[in-house]
Amino acid sequence: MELRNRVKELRARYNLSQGELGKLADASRQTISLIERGDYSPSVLLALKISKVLKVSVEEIFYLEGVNENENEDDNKKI
Amino acid sequence: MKMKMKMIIKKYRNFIIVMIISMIVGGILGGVSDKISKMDLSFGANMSEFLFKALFAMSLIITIYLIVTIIYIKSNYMKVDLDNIPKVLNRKVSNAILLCTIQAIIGLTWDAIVINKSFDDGPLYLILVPTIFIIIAASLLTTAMRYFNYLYPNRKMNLFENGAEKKYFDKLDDGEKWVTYTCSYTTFNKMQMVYTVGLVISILLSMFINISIEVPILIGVIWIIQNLIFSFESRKYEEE
Repeated sequence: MELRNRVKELRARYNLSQGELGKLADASRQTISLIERGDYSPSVLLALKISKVLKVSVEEIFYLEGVNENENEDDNKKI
Repeated sequence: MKMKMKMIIKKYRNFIIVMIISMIVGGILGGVSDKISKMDLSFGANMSEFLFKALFAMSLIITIYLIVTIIYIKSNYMKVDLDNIPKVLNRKVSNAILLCTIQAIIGLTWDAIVINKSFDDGPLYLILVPTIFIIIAASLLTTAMRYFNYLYPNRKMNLFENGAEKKYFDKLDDGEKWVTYTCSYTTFNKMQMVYTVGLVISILLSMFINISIEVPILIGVIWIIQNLIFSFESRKYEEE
């Protein structure tokens, strides 16, 4: 299972450049670029900061490829 | 039994192939070296003079390129939007810092060669030439860093500060630290290959020409020191 993200798509929604998003989330443009390309998985802190800037939950930005939403919900119920 | 044998061969196939090729190459080289009379490539006056000229040409080319790059950065860095620094300018600044560092290393090596040759009976004033190049490289590095600090105010570098590299590393964010980790690990792994190749080349060349024994010793010592540093550093993080 690989970690995927929708940072690029959500960033476009707010018409933000990588540098601008980086500045708002306290990260560099390079880090945002690495996350978008899937080269680097951000720390929990940075993921939370990005989700706050993009006004969505962390799960809406970051998800595991190969795991469907039902499975996630089942897991949540078990917990 | 046969299956087990096949599995072992499959597992170690590449290793076996490399060993066989090495044996053949080693045998051929051994045979050839016996027939060729040993050359004596003197690392004396001629080599020293050649190195002086080669390092001078190299340093001159690097310095001219650096001056052109610094002029380009100087005429452009004030105009850029700091939130969207152009890739070209970013690359030029990092190239300038890298080349200044390389030039300083070349200068120091050159100084060592000149001192080694001239200490007893050579013209000692020649030490001035590499030293001037080192001073030029240092001043260009200071200038390049000033531009870097303007472009990246959150990650200011200070060449002359104690523990400057650690302080710079601490200023990096998560992603940049990850890039540093990946680059460092790749460098470490590739350097293992460089040491191996260096030692093998020195062994092969020593069959044909007189190579100073300091060469393999130096490579071996640096190789061991690098592994020891890595090992001791990694042990610090093993404690619970």
